[in-house]
Amino acid sequence: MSGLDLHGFGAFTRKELLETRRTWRLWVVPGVLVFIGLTAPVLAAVTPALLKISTQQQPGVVIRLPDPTTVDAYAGFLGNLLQLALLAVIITSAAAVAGERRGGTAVLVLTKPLSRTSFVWAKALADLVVLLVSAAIGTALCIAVTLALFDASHITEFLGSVALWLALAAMFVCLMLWLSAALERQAAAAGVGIGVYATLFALTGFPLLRDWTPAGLFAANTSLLMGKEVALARPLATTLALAVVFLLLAAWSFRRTEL
Amino acid sequence: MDILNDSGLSTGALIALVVVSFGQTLLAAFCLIDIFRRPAVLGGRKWVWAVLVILFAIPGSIIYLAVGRVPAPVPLPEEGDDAVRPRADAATVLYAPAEQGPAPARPAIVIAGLTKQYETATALAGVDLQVPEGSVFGFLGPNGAGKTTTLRILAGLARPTAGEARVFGHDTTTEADAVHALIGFLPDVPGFYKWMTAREYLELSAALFGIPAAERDERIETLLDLAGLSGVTTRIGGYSRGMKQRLGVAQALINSPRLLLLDEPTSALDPIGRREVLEMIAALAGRTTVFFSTHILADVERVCDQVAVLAAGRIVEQAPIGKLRSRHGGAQRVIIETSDPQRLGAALSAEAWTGAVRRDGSDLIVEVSDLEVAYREVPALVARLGLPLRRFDADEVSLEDVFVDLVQGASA
Repeated sequence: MSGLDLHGFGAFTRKELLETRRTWRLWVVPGVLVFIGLTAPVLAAVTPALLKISTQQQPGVVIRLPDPTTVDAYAGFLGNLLQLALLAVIITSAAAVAGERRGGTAVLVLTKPLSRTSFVWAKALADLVVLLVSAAIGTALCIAVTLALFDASHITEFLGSVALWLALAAMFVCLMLWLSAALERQAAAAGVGIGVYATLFALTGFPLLRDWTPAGLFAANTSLLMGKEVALARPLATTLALAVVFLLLAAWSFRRTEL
Repeated sequence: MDILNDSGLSTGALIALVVVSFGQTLLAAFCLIDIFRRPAVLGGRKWVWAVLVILFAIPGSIIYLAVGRVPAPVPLPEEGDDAVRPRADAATVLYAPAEQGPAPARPAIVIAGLTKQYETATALAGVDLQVPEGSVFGFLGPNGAGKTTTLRILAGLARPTAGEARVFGHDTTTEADAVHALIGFLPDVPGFYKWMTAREYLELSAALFGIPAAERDERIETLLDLAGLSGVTTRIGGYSRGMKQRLGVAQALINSPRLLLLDEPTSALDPIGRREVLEMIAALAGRTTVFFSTHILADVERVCDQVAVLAAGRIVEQAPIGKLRSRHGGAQRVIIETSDPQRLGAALSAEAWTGAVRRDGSDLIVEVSDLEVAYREVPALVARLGLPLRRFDADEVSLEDVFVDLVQGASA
């Protein structure tokens, strides 16, 4: 159970990626990102028309909305990333280690030359790869549909906002791996993860805490798209540092766990 | 491991399917762009056409994602099918021929003062044990005696509260990595990735051990044959418990381990499967060390050369089976069957050469101080009482008797 032993890391990472493709995991985070990538621009485009139809049935009600823009399309996608997609990441990652412990699959592989650190970090790498590829596909679809429906403006700001979300999501992947390794139950890990998510969301209302914690990335996400000046260095550095700390804690915790 | 094509489809069919689904997605993308560039589309609303095109594209995406998720259906073999039975001669492929001559003196396992305390219970209370290299060692004990806890500590999955366990000199707590390179382990209920096939699981196991590709393929073929799973491409999620148990034995042998740790390896198998696994274990004698826990005494009698009995967290006996019987043989017994066991039992109890007399159905089981006296006196006594003598046997002390005596003695 030595600390930095990475025996079996490559073989187990390949297994994790194959598992993603073969099981329900393929349909959750990638599915959510593809879905919101396709639907966010379409919803932005049709929302005024839908509202118009609904108000036509209520005489005397007049709602005037500005014409939908590219920013509306991208903001819809980013809003869904922060809520739906992030919650999907939290819930699926909660099963990473706890599920293998519960199913007895961890016992068989961990009595072979596969270190506990490799076991946890291979899961992290696979989850991060899936996250990155899914975000790339979802973002590309969102841009493609937005180009078709609107115009080619704000793409750079949009990509920057997605990159910020990726940093936040990567931190949650690492946090969930730690919780999944430390807590025996998947539900407990998911519960604590959602609690952390809610806390960070609440911290966006406190400027000092927001500027020094990952909560700053929640707030900066759409601000960047709007072209506002945003102080990103501190929240981004804190987020990435926390991701590394959570990864180390996950490996440390799992090495101490009896199976 | 062919990650790209695990569907059972031919490569040509797979490429055609991917090209068609990819083309369908591209076509949909072009249509979407075109729809929103035109001022009007066939007199309808643009977004309605866009939704229709997206709906058209969805089947293509689903086909693309689904390719490889469902392997080609291959009928599961029947449990009793001879073709799927494991073969014991795999031992000769996985290991060099057994060396002749004196057994090595070095122990494979040394356990000293091993204690495992949980919050509310003591699983192991100072276990001391030595397992000679090359032996087939039976680890006996009733349920809850601490067998599985001992095996978990030996496999580096749990830490002792006190004491130590060593495998070929390596401490199982501080040198677990070195231990894992030397052992094969089968837990009582093996947990497999249900979405894998047996071959894929063995490939993963071989990759973790770093077995070279050339050697790996031959070994996997041998082990699939051993497990009776050659040609079965169904995923493990569809296996019976017996099939999983046989695959469990196969994965434990992938590295030709110097020590094979088996926790209740035959408990889920049908009689034929059990016999064949036992034959395989017996065939490994002298080639590697097998340490298996069980409560099935017949299995131990069949293949083990040594046993240890664990009761209430302690080893109450360790010896070769023959010595164990002679050491705990105690009083000799005869079994008598007659038409009136109650009357005969009363008469036997009054004799000086008899000990305890107990009734088991229509049989009387009588402890005797001298078997020769019993052979002479019992028929005479039965004749005096005018009873028919239907059965009269000397009873050999079984391992079960010894086991029950030892376990009851430990818990008394």
